[in-house]
Amino acid sequence: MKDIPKIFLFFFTIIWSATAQKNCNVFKWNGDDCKYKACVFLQEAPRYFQLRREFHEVHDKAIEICPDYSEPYRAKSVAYLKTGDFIRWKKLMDKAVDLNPVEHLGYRGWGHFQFFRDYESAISDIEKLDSLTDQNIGYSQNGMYHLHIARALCYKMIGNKKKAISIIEDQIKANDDKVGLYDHLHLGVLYLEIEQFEKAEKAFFSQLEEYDCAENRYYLSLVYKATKQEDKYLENISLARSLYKKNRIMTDPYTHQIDKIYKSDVAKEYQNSLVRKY
Amino acid sequence: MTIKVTCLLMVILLTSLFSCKGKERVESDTIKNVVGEIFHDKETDGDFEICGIQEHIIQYYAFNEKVFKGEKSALIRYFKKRYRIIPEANQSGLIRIRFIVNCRGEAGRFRLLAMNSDYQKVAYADDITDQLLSLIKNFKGWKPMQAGAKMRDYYQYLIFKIANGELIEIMP
Repeated sequence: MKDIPKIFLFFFTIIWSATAQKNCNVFKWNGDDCKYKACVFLQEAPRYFQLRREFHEVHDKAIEICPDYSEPYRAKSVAYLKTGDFIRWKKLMDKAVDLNPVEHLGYRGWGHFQFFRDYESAISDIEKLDSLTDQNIGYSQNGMYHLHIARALCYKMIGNKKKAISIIEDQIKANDDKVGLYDHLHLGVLYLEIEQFEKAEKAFFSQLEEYDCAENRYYLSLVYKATKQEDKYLENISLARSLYKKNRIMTDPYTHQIDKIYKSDVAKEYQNSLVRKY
Repeated sequence: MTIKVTCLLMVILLTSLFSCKGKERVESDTIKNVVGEIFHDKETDGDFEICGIQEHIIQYYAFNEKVFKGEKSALIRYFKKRYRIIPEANQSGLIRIRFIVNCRGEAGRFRLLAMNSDYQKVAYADDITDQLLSLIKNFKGWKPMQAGAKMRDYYQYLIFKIANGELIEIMP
């Protein structure tokens, strides 16, 4: 049951970040009347669906009030992100980042990674953000990953697994009370891929404490397959099958995560385990 | 059980959050989208028809088993098995094909957008784009979508990541 509040917390983060209002007074206190006016204008404007003409007209008006206020550029970009228009999304997000890098580099980096699998740009954004602030650089837009974990996954995808492992290890070590939903799982898969089976098993055991999903059991079964522990191999692939049926899998409403597995992967491995056993 | 409890908590949270917002959500009866609408083009869209009216096509962002038969792995297999690498084109970047799936699960009104690795709009070699368009037009795995009691038309897209003419990833 430990994972229920955690999953809930992640969804809460998504909803909160999507609906939270800015404190416009911050601009007033800093003597930035232009941004204050644009911020208040957006807060008082009617709310429209992101793809609608009125939504963009309202945000264009905010840009007119204060061309240096980054928020309307970011807000307008979301419609293009969700419809896969990478060119217009990028143009708007670049503008937002130019105006306020600390505020938007993390979001642009996550967008590069999650929606466009542009690993190099994601790494560059997250590392730039890290160099600009002493504060915690924060989490992905969906709340599921700390941005350092996202960065690690990008390194993995461009082939630098050692660096990916090192980043995840450091992140978990420094924040062992705030481990992400899939952090141990990704670490375990990395160790499995470089054939460090003991470390992989340890990571998958840690993942059991966070969220015991089909992916975790599937990869754990592969550790036992590689180390020729046939009973554990069969036991864990059977558990993966059962968890998959219960829909305890890696999920994301918009995209499919790195290391996600499919029903066909589990079915194939289950058949393999039966053949080896009997 | 976990998922059900989580969903219930999410519904409660969403209801409370949006009911507290105090802002009126404005809707319109006519087409007002400036982003994402695909209108019929006699020259390219053939006899593909939507079931409802343009204003009611759902802008559906999620990408899951609700919209295609099988899992994403089946879709990846379909494209990777059939796509022929075009190394001589030496092109890299992203190609998005956006389209409509009608209430019968038929896809049409395909629109292509392509960029290079610097997010600049470019034209890809016909051998690449024609191939992808042909494959996506022949893909029969889309599901019709039910919303309430009605079967509805909806938007969908795929992004193909190309490296030196090779198809290396499919998103979302």
